[in-house]
Amino acid sequence: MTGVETFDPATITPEDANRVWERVRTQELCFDDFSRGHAELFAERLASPTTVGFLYKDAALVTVEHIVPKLNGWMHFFLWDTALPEGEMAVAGRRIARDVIDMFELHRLTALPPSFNKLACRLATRVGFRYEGLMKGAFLYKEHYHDLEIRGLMAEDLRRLM
Amino acid sequence: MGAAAMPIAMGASTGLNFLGGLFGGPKTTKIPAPAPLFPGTQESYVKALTDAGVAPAAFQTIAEGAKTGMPTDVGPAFEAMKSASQRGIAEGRSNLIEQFGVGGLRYGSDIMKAGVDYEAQTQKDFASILAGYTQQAQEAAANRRLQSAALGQQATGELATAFRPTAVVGGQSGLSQGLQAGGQGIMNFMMMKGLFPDLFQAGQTGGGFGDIVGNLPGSIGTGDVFGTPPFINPGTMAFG
Repeated sequence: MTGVETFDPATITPEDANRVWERVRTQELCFDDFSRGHAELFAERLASPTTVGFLYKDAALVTVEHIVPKLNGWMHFFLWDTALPEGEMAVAGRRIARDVIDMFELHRLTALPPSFNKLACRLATRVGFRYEGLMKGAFLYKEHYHDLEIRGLMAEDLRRLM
Repeated sequence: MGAAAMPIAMGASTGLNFLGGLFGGPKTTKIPAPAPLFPGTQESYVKALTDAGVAPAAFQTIAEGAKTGMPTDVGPAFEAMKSASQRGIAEGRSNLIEQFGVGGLRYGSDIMKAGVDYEAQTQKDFASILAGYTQQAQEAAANRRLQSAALGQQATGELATAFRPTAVVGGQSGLSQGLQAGGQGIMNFMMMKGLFPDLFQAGQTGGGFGDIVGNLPGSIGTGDVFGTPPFINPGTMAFG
């Protein structure tokens, strides 16, 4: 998979880890009020044994968290290079999704883009996530409650897309 | 096993001791070698473990853990320092949350400002924080392996090393020991089936232990042997 490399907390160099965090922490839209800027909370997510992470061209970090083999994983995008074409990121995201689904024999992937984050919702759609519903007021961003879209990508749908 | 059987067994044993006393002092009796209660199981004990993938974990993990304390690749001195500092950081954040939580300001701007200030003092090196959590995750995984290995070895070990009663009855009759060993054997058999279902597939046509074990709460048959799924709180996550 061109441009994609695995983000392994056990083997990554300290310099690379710090560099990724410095990129990610600037993406305020990716965090709610409680987790924003908290290196420990983010590190805990990355180090979890149920998380896999991928770096794409020093432009984005893609994680799939809370993986339950043969069932589901929660997909997250941290995109800091605004020059990266949206379509290219979508293709990379779709390939990552396929690899993770194959790796853990997942039945589906789930994503929860905030409804006000139009770029995230559009990217989710381009990757292949379908709209499944809304979580009202489930995202606290800058002291305001926002809705989260529930997006699902079924493994069988992804196979048809690729 | 068998509360009703116990008094009969003990009575028979007492009678034998009394007869022995009548005919004089101690004498040497040749004791036949004990026969395995489950000979087939004993023969395939190690093989079954190996085939099922339990043996490497059960034997090596326990032995390694006893000798080395399950180390990870990270230097122990560095990790000791890290764990100590991480604990302090966690306590600091908890105190912060508690302080603002009491006032109903947990999600307000005050705690966020205080939280950011506190983090600014502690997060100078994300790589160290990440290394600390990674090491904790590895330790937790090692503990889970150790526990499952101990369970596997204990269950199968008791089954494979169960022997029929011999002439040495130790205060109980052969009947009593046989009943007790048989009861233990049934328990072990049920555990063995749960651990190695493939070993019990051959000749299983239904109606036997397979159906009983499969319907027990907490068994593989009911699907909850692995416990509940991990708690998921996607509300704090984002999709940027």
